[in-house]
Amino acid sequence: MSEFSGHCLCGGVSFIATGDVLRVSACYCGMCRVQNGGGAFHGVEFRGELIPKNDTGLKWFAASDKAERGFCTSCGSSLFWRSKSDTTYYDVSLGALIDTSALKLDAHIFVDHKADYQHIPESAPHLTEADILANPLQDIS
Amino acid sequence: MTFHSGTCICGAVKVVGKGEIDHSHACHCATCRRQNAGGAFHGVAFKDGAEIKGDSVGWYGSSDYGERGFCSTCGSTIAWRMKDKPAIINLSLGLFENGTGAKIGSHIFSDLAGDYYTLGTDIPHKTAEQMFAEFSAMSDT
Repeated sequence: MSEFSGHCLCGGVSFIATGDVLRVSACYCGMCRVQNGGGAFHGVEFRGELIPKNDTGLKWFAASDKAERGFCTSCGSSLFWRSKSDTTYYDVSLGALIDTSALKLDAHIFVDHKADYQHIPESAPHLTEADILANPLQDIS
Repeated sequence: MTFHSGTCICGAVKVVGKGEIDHSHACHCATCRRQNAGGAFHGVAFKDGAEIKGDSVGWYGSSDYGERGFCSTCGSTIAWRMKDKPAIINLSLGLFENGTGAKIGSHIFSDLAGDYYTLGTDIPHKTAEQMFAEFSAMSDT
């Protein structure tokens, strides 16, 4: 059981992420890149509960039929991703966490969806969409 | 003139980059990482400026000198611009489906990158000190 505190740029959203850490990952899928400044969603994937402390600015955007993305409507910080069918499976932005000193990337995921301008370091294993479908952390279908 | 068109995840905000690409970079400062799910903001500047269209764009003043545009419908990061010189603007490379053909020229604020990932060494790194010197030079002109 782990617990991490975090907040957005303006403080309109603050939270405590609790549960079991499934994986620390950077996701290069098209939607993560478009939402996040053309980079990747660097997050801690949890099985547990996301507890809001202040959700004044929080909005969930239904990005697909399977998942929603949480962000702050005051400052635009991208904060969360969660499965629609099972909200105990969620991903929290590493950029929002107050202390990341104990966290290292376990994997770069959806690397076959990266943009041409991106060079993904060899610092962690590279997983393609096919790798992830063959061995899912969580079935969100 | 060449025009590069882009859009956020939901399509409510559209951007146009005008003319040739001037430069692009990946910014690793803590503010960019907090807004962009822990990763870098990949920004692109065009020689003849940029246009942003759509009622849902919001601007957040994240420092004395800069503000950040985002889509308040889907949370996509749109742009960073200077407050007193809004023509100095970087659009998110993630908004362009084909990436505009841009190559990332440098990693900026490289000394402020997250401790959970490593930067490639294939392109130049510029520290915060170097960047603030560049900003000062811009204000003097």
